[in-house]
Amino acid sequence: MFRKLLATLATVAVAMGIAGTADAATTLKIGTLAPGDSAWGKEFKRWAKDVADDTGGELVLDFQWNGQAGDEVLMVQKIRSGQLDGAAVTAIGLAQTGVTDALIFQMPGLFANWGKLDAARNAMKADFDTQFQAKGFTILGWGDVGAAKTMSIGFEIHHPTDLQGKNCFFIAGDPIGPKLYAAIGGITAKEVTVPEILPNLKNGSIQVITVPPLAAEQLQWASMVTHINTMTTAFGIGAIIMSSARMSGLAQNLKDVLANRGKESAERLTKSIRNLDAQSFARLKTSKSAYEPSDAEKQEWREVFAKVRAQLRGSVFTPGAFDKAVSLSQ
Amino acid sequence: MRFPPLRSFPVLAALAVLPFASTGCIKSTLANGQIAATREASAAFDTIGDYELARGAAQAGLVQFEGMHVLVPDNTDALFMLTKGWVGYGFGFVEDEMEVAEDAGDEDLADYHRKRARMAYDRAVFYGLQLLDQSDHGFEASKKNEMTLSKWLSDNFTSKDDAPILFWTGYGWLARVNLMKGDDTEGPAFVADLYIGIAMLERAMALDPSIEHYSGLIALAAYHARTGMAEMDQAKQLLDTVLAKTEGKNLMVQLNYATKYACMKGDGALYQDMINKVLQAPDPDPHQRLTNAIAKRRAKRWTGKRRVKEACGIDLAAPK
Repeated sequence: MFRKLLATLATVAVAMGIAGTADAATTLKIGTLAPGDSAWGKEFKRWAKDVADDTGGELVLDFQWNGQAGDEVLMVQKIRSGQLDGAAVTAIGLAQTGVTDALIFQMPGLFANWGKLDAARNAMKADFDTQFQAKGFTILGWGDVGAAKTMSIGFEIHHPTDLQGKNCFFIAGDPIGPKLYAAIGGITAKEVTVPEILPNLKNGSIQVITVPPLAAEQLQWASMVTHINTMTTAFGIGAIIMSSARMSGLAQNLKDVLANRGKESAERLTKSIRNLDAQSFARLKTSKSAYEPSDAEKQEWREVFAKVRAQLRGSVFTPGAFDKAVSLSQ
Repeated sequence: MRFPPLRSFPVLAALAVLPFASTGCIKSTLANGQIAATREASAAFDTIGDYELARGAAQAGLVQFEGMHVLVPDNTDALFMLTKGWVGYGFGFVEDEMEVAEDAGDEDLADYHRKRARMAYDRAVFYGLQLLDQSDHGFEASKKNEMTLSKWLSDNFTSKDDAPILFWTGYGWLARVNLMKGDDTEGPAFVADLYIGIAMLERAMALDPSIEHYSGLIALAAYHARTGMAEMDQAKQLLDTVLAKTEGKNLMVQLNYATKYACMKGDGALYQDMINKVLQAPDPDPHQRLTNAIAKRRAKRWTGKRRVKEACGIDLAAPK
C-alpha cells in the first residue's frame, strides 16, 4: 500500500514537471584524446565530480574519452557546430581555433625553463582570453604536454645539419615545424597525423621525433628510438577550451563553479604532467643512448631557432604578441 | 585460458612422501614425472564450466607447482605451468574479484585485489623470463628498443614449440600493463614497456597463431584498440579473423570486440550486440568451457551502465 502511494506521488511529481535533479541537470560534452584511466582522465573525472558536488548535480561534465569525439581538429570543429561543448587539446587543437598566437609559447628555444613559460603565459593571459573569446572559445585552464627532446633511430643529432637527409615529420596544421626544417635546409619533412607516426617509425619513413618524453613513451614511439638528445628544444602546451556560447548560456553560479574547478584541475594536471614527463625523461636517459650537446652545438641550435622565430613574426604570429612573449622570455 | 589441474590424491600423496624421501635424486625424479604428467593432463581443466570449482583448483594447483618448482628449479614444464597458471589465475579470478569490488564502489577492496593481481602477473613474468633465459641469456640487453628485442626473439625462438611460453609470458606482461596503466606512480613506466609484451606475442603468433584458441591474436587486437587514436582498423581486422577462425566458439573474441574495439569507438550498437552474443551463447565448445564461463561473467559485468559509461562513454540507456 505504502509503495503504491509512493509510486503514485512520483508519477504526479513527474507529470507536474518537478522531477529530480538528474532531469534538470545541464550536461556539457567534453572531448579528449586521453583514456579515462590515464593521468589526464583521472584528473578530468575529479573535475567532473567536483563540479557535480558543488552544483548539487545541476551541472554534469560528460567526457568523451579516447578520441571518440574525433581527433583534435574534428573536436574543435564540433565545438563550433555545437556537437561538443568543450575539449582538452594540445597545440594542434589550439591552432584550429584561429588563435594561432597561442602557439607562441611553443616556439623552439624561446623559454629556458617552465618557470619562464609560466611567467609569460600568466602575463599574457588577459590578451589571450580576449583573442579566444573573439573566436568563440573560452580557456578554462592551460595545461602542458612536456618538455620536447629530439630522439632518433640509429644516429645522434648534435648539429642542426645532422637532420639533413634524415626522415623528419611535422603534424598537419603545425605552422612551426616546416619553418624549422626550411631554415636548416636539405630536409624533406613528411606531413602526418598523430596515428600515422608509429607505423612510419616502424617502416623507417620517420627517423627523428622531437616530442616530450612522456608523449613518446605513452604513444609507444619511444620503443623505436635508439638515441636521445638531452637538450630541451621547446615546451609542448595545451588547454581546456570551451564554447563561449555554451558558457554564456549557463547560470552565473554554474559558470563560476565550472571555471574555478577547471582552473584548479588544470593547475593540478600541469604539476602532475611535468613531474611524469621528468620521470619519463629520466627513464629514457638510462634505456637509450643519451648525449648532451656541447656548448658550441647548443649555440648552433640557438641560432637556427632565432632564425625560425624571426620568420614566424608577422607571418604566423602577430608582431605585438610575438614581441611581448619574446620580451617576457628573457 | 588454461590452468593446471588439481590431481589431488596422487599429487598430495607424492608431496607427502617427498620430504621423507631418502635422496634428492628420488625427489627430483618423482617431481619431474609428476610435473610432466600434470602438464600433459592440464587440458582437461578447460572443460570445467564450474567457475567456483576452477578457482579453488587453480589456487591449489599453483601452490602445488610452486612447491615442485623448489624441488626441481630448472624443470621447464614447471616453469611453463607456473607462468601459465599465474597469468590465468590473475586474469580469470583475481581481476574478476577486483571488478566486483569496483562495481560495488569499494575502492579499498578493489585496490587490494589489484595488488593481488599484480603479484600474480609479476610471478608469471618472472617464471616466463626464467624459461626464456634457458634458450638465451640476452633478454635484458635486447629490450633497449623494439628492433633489438624483435631480433633477439626471432634469432632465438624459431620453433613452433617456443610459441606457448612466448605467448604466456607476453600475455602476462600485457595483462600487468593493462592492470597498472592507471597507477599514479607506476602506470606510465608500465605503459612505456608495453612493446616488450607485444613483441613476445607477435613472435609467438608468427610461430603458431592457433595456440590457446587464437588468444594471442585477441590480445594483439586489444593492443591495437588501446586508444581511439591507435590502430583501430588493424584491431577490427584481427578480431574478424579470429571470429572466423574460432567460429564464434571462443567467447573472449566477442567480449574483446565489445569492451576494447566498440568501447574505444564509442559504438553502442556494436557493443551491445557483441555483449549479447557472449551472454546468449549456450555452450559453444566443451574444450573452452572455463574460458567461456569467465567471458560470460565479464560480459554480464560489462552490461553495467556506470561501468560502460565511465570506460567507454557509451550510454547503454540511450536508444539505438
